[in-house]
Amino acid sequence: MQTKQLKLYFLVLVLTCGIVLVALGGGLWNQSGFWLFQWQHQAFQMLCHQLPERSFWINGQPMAVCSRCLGIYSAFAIFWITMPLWAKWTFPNLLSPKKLALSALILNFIDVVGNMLGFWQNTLLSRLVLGILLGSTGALIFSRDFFLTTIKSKGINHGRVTTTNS
Amino acid sequence: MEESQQQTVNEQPSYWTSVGIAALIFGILYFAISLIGGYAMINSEPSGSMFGNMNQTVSSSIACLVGICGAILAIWHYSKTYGGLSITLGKGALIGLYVAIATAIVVTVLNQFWNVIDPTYTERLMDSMIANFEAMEGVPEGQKQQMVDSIASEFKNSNTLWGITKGFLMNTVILGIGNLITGMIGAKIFGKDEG
Repeated sequence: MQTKQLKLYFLVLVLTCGIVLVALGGGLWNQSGFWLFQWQHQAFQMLCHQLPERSFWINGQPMAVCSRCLGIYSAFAIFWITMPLWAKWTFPNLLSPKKLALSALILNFIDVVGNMLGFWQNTLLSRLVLGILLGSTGALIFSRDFFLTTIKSKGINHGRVTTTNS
Repeated sequence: MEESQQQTVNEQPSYWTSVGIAALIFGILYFAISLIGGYAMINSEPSGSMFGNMNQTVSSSIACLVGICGAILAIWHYSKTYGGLSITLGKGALIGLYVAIATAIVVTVLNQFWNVIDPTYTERLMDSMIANFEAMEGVPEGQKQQMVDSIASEFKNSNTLWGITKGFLMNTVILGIGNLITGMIGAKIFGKDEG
């Protein structure tokens, strides 16, 4: 397996793992003090609404992000870490990573709007699942950017023109 | 001669205009949403809920993840302005990081500016938050008092130089990481692939 831009890959890996750890909030470390003013909560105040009733709780304290954001960050981190394993996946044109990510984004948007307008009531779990969808497809976009797998030629295209200049 | 030709090939147009535009738009947007949420909380009756009434919840939900969209806008603007430009992942990440820093500056400046326009805003917000906590049911009095004390001391510290600097640095770090990643996503979507 060939690699490229490894520095960037490892930088993002460290940063995303760090973000997931911070997102879990002060409950993970049994921090004392009112959770609303713990540094983890303050760090995410520009990125997430942090409503406690929309967040998972650890040790009697809500996480620093809502369940949807937790899904996004954790799935992105897991897919990023395991990128070498699935870098050889091939996606059909109809289900390209970009299209999958866009679909997941639209799905999340519909869920937020539908919930706001009272069409349905989403739950902690449904928001987490939709967040996981968005985070994982977001990482899939980079499936060919850091690890390259060599595909063995079967010889079926020998002598044929397989690419065209568009 | 050869050197100058090489330089021209390597030179890419500046992305600072795109960074500035995205940071301004998203900084103002974030500030406006949080301000609307703040005034909604101030002007509502204490509900006994952690963050006030439904209006505030709605504005908070809209604000969710707004902060990391700036990088995508910056890269879209950059690639649209200089059509056919190849944007590497590293460059996308860098643009995202700059957008985050600039957005955090815009929000910090606007927050301070608003304190001049409405000097009572922070105090009223604090009073409203405390009233909400006091109206909470099922929370032991001792714990309630501890929460109220925390709110009062935190709001007091937030307007000191250290409080402002701490808030700015925290916003910059988390926004920076978020925008770094969305900057890379933007580069994948809008940048011309180098192959």
